[in-house]
Amino acid sequence: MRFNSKRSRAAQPLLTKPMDRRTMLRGVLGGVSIGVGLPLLEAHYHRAHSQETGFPNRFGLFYWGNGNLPDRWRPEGPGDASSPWTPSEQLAPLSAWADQVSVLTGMTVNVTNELPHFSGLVGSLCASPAIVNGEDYTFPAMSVDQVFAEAWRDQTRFRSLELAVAESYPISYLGPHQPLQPETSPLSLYQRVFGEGFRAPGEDVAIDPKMLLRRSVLDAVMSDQRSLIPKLGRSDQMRLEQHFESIRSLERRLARLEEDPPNFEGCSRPSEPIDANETDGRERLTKTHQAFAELLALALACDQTRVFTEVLTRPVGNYLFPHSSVGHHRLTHDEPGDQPEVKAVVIQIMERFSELIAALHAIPEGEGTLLDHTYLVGTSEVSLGRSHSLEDLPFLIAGGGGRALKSGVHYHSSGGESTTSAWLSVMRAAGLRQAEWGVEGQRSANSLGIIEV
Amino acid sequence: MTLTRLLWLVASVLLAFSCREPYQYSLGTETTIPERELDSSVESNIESEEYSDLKWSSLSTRLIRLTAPQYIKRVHNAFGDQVQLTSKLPKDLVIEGSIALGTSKSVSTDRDVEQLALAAEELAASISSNLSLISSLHPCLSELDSDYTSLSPSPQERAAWFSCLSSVTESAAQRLWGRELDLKEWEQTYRIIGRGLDLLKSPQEALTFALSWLLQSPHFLYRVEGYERDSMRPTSTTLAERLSYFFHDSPPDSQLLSADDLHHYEGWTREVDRLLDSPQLERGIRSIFNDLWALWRLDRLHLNKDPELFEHLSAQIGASAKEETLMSVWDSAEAQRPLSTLFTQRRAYIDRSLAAVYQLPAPSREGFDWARISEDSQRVGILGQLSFLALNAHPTSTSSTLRGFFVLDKLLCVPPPPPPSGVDTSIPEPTPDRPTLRDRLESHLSEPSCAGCHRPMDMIGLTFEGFDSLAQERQEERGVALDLSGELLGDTVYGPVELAEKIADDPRLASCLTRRLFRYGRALHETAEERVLMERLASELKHEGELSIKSLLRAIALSEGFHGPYAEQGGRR
Repeated sequence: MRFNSKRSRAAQPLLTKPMDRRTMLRGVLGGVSIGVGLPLLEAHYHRAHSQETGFPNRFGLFYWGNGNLPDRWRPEGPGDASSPWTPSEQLAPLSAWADQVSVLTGMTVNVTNELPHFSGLVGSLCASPAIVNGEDYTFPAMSVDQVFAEAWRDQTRFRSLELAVAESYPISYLGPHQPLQPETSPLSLYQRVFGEGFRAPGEDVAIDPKMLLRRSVLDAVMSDQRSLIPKLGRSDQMRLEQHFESIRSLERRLARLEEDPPNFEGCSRPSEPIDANETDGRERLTKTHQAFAELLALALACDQTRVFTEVLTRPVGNYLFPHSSVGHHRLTHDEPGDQPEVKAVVIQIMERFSELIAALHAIPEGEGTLLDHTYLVGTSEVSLGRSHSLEDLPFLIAGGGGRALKSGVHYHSSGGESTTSAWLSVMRAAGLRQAEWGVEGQRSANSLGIIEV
Repeated sequence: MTLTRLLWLVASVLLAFSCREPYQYSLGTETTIPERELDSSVESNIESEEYSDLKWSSLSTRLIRLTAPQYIKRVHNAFGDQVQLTSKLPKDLVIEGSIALGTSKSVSTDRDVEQLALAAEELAASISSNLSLISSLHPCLSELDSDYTSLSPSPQERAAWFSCLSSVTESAAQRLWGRELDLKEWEQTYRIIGRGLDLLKSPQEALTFALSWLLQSPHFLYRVEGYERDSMRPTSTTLAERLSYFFHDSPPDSQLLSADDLHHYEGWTREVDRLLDSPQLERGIRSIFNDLWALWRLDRLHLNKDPELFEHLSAQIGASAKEETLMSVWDSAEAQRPLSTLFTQRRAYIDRSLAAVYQLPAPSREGFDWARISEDSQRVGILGQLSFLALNAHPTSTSSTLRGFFVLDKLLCVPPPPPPSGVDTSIPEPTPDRPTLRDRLESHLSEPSCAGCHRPMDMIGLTFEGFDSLAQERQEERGVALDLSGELLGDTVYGPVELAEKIADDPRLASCLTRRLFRYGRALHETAEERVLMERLASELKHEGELSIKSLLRAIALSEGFHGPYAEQGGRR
């Protein structure tokens, strides 16, 4: 067990049965003093941590829009952890991390490419065709990050964190028309995760009695449930039930904030980041991404969440990258020949991915780093943007510490296996018991055995 | 018999003969009627005079989430404009480019609820700290001679505050929810105020949390469309809210809420006309066109344009462009000008940033003013504005496809299908032989597989090539004089002025607008029958030469598609 040194003496749970600390806290508040530094009960941290490492598994999705240049993306050699793959020009920014990253090529999204970009997005992240109803289109089910979040729900304060850098665009869905809107400002992410109520390890800050009032308010809102829901039509009933479920989740989060402060050694309070609105020009993407990466790493290190999604650029996104003559999406379609400008953009995107890997790697956890306990997948919705191709989709897996998935390998699927197989490998490596996933052409029960340890 | 009633009858008869499928009244693609309930009854009843009962038979209560501006408006109506909110409200869901359509599908996620809680607490704190506002809710505050911010240990004082704060909360609920608290809600009020007084030792803070509860309740966050059990007509409150949110984008005033004759044609007409004459209509019309043309996308316009290329680019420019378009629409509605003039008028509504782009003299006063555009200019009407031209263009260059798509999709409701996959969509780089976009698009326009969809869009878009990606007028591209010839769905046109005249005259413009207005007003898709009804309604108005934004709004609101069947005076219902 690798908890803070002052707490590590109680590596075994103090109590055989988890104690209800809310009861205890209420007892304290009912008395005189409220400013009681809370003793730490390890029972509360003894959740689904990886048996081997003492640290939980995390999942991160790094997403970029408009794909890559697949015919010149593939690295050389199958590689392994000691002698990893040799990067192509597009993958060059990852060369420092080649032993921690596996590159999958030749993976396919087997859906009808009805709506360019959107079909590939949903096909891979949801393992099913998109719902397309005239001009109305949406995800049919939970996106992959939410599959992880659902499996690990209630274990951390935030079920998942969603961020978008270039522009606000949700790719995380709970179900049809239920997008999880991303945070676009590092400052508001900071305030949300590390603002009021957050205590870094070692900080003995008095509990604000307002927290209890907030919970009373949520209880009162919940009391409307029975009177409102039965009157509604079926789909509206479900909408309102989800609203109340979100309120319950907020209640749990408030409780956790009071009762369950973080205690991993890598956890610390970050400094307040830049306000994204103050950055403009072409450097905005890089600066915002860097600020997000640092905050995300600490949000994971402080176990505030175990799942995140970062949308660097959106599908069809037309962000004007530094040194580009026109926006990205437009470049993918209009740049003739070998598309050197598109290539330069892909290289910049890989630089951002590399920065995110570095941010996770910078935080020590036990014998290794936070990166070793994180499965970070980098992917896009198409391969060649020009033709919206769903064959040979880029799929990168970073982290994991080589325990369940091999590190530093390049696997090329000559038969065009479905991306679902790759997702299943990551799910199972991270401890999810997922027998199969997806529907129709994207359905699969088989993971990619060849990249598994 | 009025025109709309006649049309309704015609549509209903058409329906009776053509409809062999369960008729789902007004529910669009969202199927909430269990089919088995209808299947057996449809065939036997459809041609009897009972059909109008049938189409209402299974309507269940609908839940429509307030948009962020409606939320704020509801708070302002209750407590006045001085109550300000700095924290962010949840992002409104957009379906098919429309926030209005999103309101009947949006689901509150974890983050939404978190943002709603933060916003509610901020607003509640701002209200509870405003002593004159609290006193206006209930006089007990000024009658109590004890400290509002800190509770003394005296039990009598606690009891006095408890009673006073409960009364304030009751009055706040009346304003926010438009009704009295029920017994269970009283219990919740007592619970929160009691805990607040005991734990926070501050009457003011206790009140903050009671108000925060009112603002987080679904009773505040949603409006509920309900139906009368016996008549199956929308309830009066439902009708009042439907009309008020459609015309004013805000909750109904007390006169509308207390009207007892909204089910009757005369009563409904009176309120429709009253709301059309209200100054609040401007807010409503701005909200409508912001949604119909997705003008909210302009807020981030400056981030999507190359600052190195455009010296007139500023963070303000998107907002200015939005103001110009919305003001043009409002001006047209207010003066009841024919809809067509919106496309053909030669004037701009500009501030300094727009004046620079349009190369017009800046207004002499601060802010916005109308300016005449010379007859030599290609800039005319709504489609000559920065909002349309820049939003439907790339960061550095124009897009005939995006501009053409907007016209076909948003204005005429004939959008081409999405592009096929697996085709090489690249267009050649500009060269000395191919300096202009038109030259480079040659393949899109001649290749049969591209041209089917691209030609209708590009041939519209190419007429706007005299405006760059930031809507600045230009005569040439890379030193070559621009050819502005194009087509509107097969009709040859030259340049944006001729195109605007053609669009203004196209019957699809009015029927498309009517359909989109209906969707906006009902927050759902029209059925095929309602579409027929709306199209007739538009063509009648056009035929009578009375086609203006106001006349369209009025006709839609009076139609039974919007209102539901009227109660006959002294009749069966």
